[in-house]
Amino acid sequence: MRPNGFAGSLSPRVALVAALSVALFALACREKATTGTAEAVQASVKPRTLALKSTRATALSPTLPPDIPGGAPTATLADAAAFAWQEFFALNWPAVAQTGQVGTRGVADGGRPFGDPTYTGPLVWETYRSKVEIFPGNGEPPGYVQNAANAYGFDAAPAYNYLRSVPPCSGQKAEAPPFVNLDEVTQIGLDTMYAGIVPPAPTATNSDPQRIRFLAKANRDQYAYVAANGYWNHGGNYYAAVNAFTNAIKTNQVAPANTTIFFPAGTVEVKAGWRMLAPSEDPTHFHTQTVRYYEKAGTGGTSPTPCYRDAIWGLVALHIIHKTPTAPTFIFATFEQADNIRAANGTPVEDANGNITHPPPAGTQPTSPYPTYTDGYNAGAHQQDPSVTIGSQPFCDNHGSQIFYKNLAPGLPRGKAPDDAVCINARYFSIPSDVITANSQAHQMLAAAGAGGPWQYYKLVNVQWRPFNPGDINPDPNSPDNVATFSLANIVVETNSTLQAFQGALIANGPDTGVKTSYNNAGGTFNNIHVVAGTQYNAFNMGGCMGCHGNAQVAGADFSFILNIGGVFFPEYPEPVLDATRTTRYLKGLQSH
Amino acid sequence: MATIYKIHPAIGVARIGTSSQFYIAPDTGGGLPTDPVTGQPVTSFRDSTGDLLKQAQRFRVFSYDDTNPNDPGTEVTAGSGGVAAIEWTVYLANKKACWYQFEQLTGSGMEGDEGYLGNGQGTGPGMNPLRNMGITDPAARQALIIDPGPRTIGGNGNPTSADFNVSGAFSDPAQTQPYPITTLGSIQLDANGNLLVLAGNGSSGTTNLKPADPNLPPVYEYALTAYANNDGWFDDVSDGPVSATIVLTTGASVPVDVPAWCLGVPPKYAPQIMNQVTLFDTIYDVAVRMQNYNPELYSGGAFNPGYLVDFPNEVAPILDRANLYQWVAEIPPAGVTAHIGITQDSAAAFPFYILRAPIMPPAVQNDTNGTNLDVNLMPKLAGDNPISQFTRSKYLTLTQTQYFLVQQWVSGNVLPAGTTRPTLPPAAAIDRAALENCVGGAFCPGIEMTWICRNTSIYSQPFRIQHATNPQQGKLSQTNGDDNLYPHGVEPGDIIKYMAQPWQADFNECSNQPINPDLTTNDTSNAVTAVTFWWWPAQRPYFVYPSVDNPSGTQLPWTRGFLDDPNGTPTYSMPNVGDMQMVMNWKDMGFIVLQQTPTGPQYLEVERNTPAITNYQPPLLPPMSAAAAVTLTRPTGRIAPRAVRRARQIPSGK
Repeated sequence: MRPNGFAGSLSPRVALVAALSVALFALACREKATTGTAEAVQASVKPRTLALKSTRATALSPTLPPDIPGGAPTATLADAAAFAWQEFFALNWPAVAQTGQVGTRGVADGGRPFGDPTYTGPLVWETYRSKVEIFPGNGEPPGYVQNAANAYGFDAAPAYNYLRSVPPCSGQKAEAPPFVNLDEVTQIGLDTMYAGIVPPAPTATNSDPQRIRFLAKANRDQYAYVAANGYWNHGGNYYAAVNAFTNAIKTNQVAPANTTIFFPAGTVEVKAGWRMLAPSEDPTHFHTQTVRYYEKAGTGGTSPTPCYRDAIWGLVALHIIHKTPTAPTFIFATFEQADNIRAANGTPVEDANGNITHPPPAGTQPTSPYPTYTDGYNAGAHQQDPSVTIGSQPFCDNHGSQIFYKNLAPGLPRGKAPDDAVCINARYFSIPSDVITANSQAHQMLAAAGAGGPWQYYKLVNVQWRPFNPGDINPDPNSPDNVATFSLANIVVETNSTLQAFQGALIANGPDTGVKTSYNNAGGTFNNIHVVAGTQYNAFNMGGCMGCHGNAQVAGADFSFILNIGGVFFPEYPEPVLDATRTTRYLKGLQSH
Repeated sequence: MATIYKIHPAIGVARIGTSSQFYIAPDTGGGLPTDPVTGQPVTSFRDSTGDLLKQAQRFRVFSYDDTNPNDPGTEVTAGSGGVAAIEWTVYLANKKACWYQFEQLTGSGMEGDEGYLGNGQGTGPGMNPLRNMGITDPAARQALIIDPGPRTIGGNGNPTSADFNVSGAFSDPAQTQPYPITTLGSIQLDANGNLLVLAGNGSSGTTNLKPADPNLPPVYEYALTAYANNDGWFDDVSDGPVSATIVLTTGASVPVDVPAWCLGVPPKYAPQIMNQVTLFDTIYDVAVRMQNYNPELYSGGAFNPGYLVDFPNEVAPILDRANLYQWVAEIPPAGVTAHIGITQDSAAAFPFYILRAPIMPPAVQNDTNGTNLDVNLMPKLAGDNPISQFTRSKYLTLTQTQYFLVQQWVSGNVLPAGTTRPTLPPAAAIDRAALENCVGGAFCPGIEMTWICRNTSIYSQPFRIQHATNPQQGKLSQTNGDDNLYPHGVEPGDIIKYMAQPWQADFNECSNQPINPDLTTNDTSNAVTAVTFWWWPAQRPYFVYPSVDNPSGTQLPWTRGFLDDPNGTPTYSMPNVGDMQMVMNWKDMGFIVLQQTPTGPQYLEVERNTPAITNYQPPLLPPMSAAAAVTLTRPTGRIAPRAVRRARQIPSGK
């Protein structure tokens, strides 16, 4: 049996990536001639009008929208985009004063306008709990009290309790922890990500200035659910609940209520990418904030230790995943700073709305080199057997101002020289015009309210609001089932070939670690999403963020990798010795499929 | 040259069964037992009638040149090499009922504990009451020892087999229900004159036929009340010395110089899945650190930081074990993947930080300093005492020696590629294998042997239990070792006396354990803050993959269908109802065995007598009349798993 959505003799991944990614890249550049499969796709595009979408104006509100109006199942791409912007407004609103008192973290200050230029404090989402505050490496969550009325101490001041306490770096004054805690330095262990526009030479306070660093946070609803059930250290009935779900999807019989892990509607997780800004960049084009990041302290070897530094950096990416009453598989929206994708000479490829204004030369692939992916299954060994190769293509060592990544995972192409990288020329799947329109509308709204500030330089990339199978991808780029939505990815958070066109399972062991596959370990389709339908589940092999997080659902953790992985033992920091181990650190959160 | 004779294994392990037939204990760690006729790995754990086969432990004599410390030994067999016969003497006994109550680490001598004698026999905090304390007459207490006396077979004028049949209150069917204790096993010779020790039948019963609580319905009348101490109860596990005399063709007799010991203990239901810490690991750790067993590795009170590890033989086996726990416990998918990962990690990639560092001795884990006590660390196995407030030891760790070996590997202190340390000679390998198939922790109390294995006073030399001189039937000591010292040696029944009474109660309850991460208490009344750890699922499986009646391939409780089924509805919510069921159904449980399936190798549950489990009715024993019995209604439906997680029952006063 072959995975969903593939037919014929071509390798399924070759078919999808080669045909659809090239097709959509071409579609975004409407003036370009298209050929072959791309031509066929474009021919099927239905004409659309902007008038339809002009009726979906969004309001500048500090209220997190509870759901897509009318419900997720029937929403259009424009509906979902409008919802995503409502989320963006609410989450980037100035937060109320952070006093540690009940009802302060994650709460917007309605008395301030969005984008208040006089406000330098944390934004609503920034006051969410960092993953280590929910899943500490040591002890209980900081401020934990067994009191649901107080949300189990959610509002306590930030404290980052890793397995061992982390001191300030040499020359860094000991400070109270800022809300933005960048304790990830890889793209879920698969690769490291860089911004070429930043000068590469280490500074006195940053050993790897080009490196983009990340955080993951969650809101009050998720924290309270975790705390109420004792899941922060995989306690309570965590194992039984995971077992109940994995058994349930195996038997395709929905488990009784409350026997599995199921976050309440209103649960939000965010992931954000931050970096140092280059002297050549205009800081007013970025949301900037004090961040805590980590560096190597002391000696190296097998047990180097971290220390922290605080600095003001710029936000380059913001993911929002939000469970709503009609979207039990979460709604995934991702935003980027406008100028992430640049040519080597520094020219942005897209504008702030996502239009491709400076397309790469004709024939340019999305990345240099551009990996070839082939899915496969070794029936004799009962093993998934995909491959990713760049053949004889050279690595991109001269990236100029481009963003670029370096793979870490054993199954992905890795260079031998330190500078061997993969440079980003364009997205695998361009931003659909309906999303571009939503961006334009949002920017106009911000401008009208005098709230543009840095926020006019952020754009929605795409939204996923319900799962569908790769075989149901619609060539219309604005269809709810368009390929860019299917493969939702942020260009600085999910950049490499696995993540830009994800679907199926992420292989977590062996020589193919870090490669995706649509096969399960028995040779059938790996379905990464399971939606309750009566007493059974509807299963999907979804792509992009939702499909990837679906791996955490399959593992029983209801789409949450931070719950799936559990205790955060150490903050990450740039250290080649440890970089080599990080793939397995992350992927061990996944099931061995 | 002087020849000395040693019996191997040093500590053998026979296992109980209901059948008169048997298989032979495996000679490799994680190996299947072997057929006594063909010598091939067994394909069934039951006889043709469905009864559970016993595991016989074969003991052999090896001769050594005592001037050559590297002599690997030569096996001595009757009828060759000038040996006419081997005369074997074995003395099995069970002292559980006249010993002290098992109170976790209290009495162990650890952390300033004064031992049973010093703690006193009272029931106050930190004290050690006796079992059956209502029986105070010394003679009556002596009668609590199941003591069939020694048996000798082989050699001149001796039989070729003998049994350890017993008499006493515990053997009277009218007094002991549901099963009388009629024997502790038997011994016989194999074709080479070697010794085979067969353990008991797995019978457990009580003379205490009075209701445990007059307010309880009759169904609970004979329920066990605690996991480790139940007055009136007896079981037929055992232990004792194994010695031999070589009868030469010249007519001379030569006693073996180094005798052995045999345990007669419960089955290992997952024979191919080794515990993360085996009994070999624990006793080896004692030998290394306290008995100068491997001075290159440890001397002068410290491990040698320059020791180069033999990765395939000293480290990889430690790293490989966790992976197989997925077949006997409900390891979440993330854990399964992580366990697979560490079997493949390079030294640089291995997450050494996730190992819980052993702090010497384990009981010192009460230390409230440092992060080593974080609940997230591995292995996720319960410690010696996560349940009561005295001498807490919440979490199991690798032994200090295991931990050091892994640490050396991570640090790059490994033998040059292509070199290994010498392999064990066959006789030493037999010693090792017997212990590798046993639980090396946690000891609360454990299955085969408890924390007494960490007490060097029980040993004459590494791995060898020191025999008491000339133990006599009817005169076995009631107090030997109550000060945690065995200067006069170990008597029959002295090893097993620490274990739960009856073993089935502990066996049923030792599945998983909620542990309070708060270092200042073991109170788990707040189920939310408790974290569930496993005990020793490699020995007593918790969740398994049945090979039949499970087309979806889901993982199910090993004790599914029990009245306290973890996935069922506990209609009988009184504690220990499942303990009583284990007394009846232990013989019906499935074994977890490696199977080659269309999707690759899997360890699946086989040979389960499910009807006997699902049709189980609590025994209605005299003096209860049939009319007084309640009719059981089998529970239906499911409950939230948390509701059936219970802390082990702590005796009142604890």
